[in-house]
Amino acid sequence: MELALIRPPDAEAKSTGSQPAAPKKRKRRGKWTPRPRPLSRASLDGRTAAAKLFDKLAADIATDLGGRDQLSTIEVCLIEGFAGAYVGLANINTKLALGQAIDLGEMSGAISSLVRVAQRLGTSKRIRDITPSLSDYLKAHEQREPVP
Amino acid sequence: VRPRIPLRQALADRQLLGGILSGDSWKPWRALLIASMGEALLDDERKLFTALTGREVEPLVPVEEFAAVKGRRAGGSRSASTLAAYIGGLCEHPALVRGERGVLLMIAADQRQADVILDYCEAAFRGSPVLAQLIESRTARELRLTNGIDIEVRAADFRRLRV
Repeated sequence: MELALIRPPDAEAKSTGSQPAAPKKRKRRGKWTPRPRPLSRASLDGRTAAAKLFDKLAADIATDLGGRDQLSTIEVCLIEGFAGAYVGLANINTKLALGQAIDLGEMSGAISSLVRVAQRLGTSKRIRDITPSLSDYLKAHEQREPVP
Repeated sequence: VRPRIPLRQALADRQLLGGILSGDSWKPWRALLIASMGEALLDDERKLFTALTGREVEPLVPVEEFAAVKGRRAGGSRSASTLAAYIGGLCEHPALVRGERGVLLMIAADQRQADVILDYCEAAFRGSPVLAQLIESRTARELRLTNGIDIEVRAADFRRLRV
């Protein structure tokens, strides 16, 4: 077996110099500052116990309130706030059960936040109306029994 | 008036008007109402139709006028309110322009009977979760639907009756 080094056709012309010319770097004007990137839950892997509790709580509340598609953006944000406050409170409660010192102000603040958000979101399950509209029903009916 | 679903199918569907005129005792009224909307009758229905109207065949086009000579407790109010629910809720009214409301007027012998007819009509809508969505509001004399139709009842009064 033979191996041949194949050179591009314009390689001869360029090889006359000592080294191929490196691409010029663009000079930055002024001082470069990175764009601020807020921490996002999407960048986390979500395998921690706290993340699992957060996700489960947020999903359960969304289900109780009629499903994610029935919620407004503000409600989704409130649910995430509630879940976050609850995770913090659960952490404080665990410390308390272990006999460790806790910050009572932090605990009561978390409880107050939970109560306020819960009052906004509601503490009862919302009944989801799955009745089809008349147009949807007639469309489905027509597919079952075509109008003569 | 352009039906969105034939009256026969609407009367047979329990999600729509089925159950209101069900049973054999309502068969003559069902046949008459179906024929009045210009739909074809089945053979046994046609026999009833012939016995009641003296006509050999049904009109096969929607009638302009349907007069029933009947006695009390014959089921006229219930049948008429069912037909009103069908025309008001399950038919399109292309003559109405956007923003215009159509009035489906039902005239009763007196105010008490008018109230009964409107109650029947509302019950026809409320009895079906699909049709109940069409009710916008109910007043003493009117059932306002979200599709731009107002079902009104009035007592017969030749001086004041205006559509």
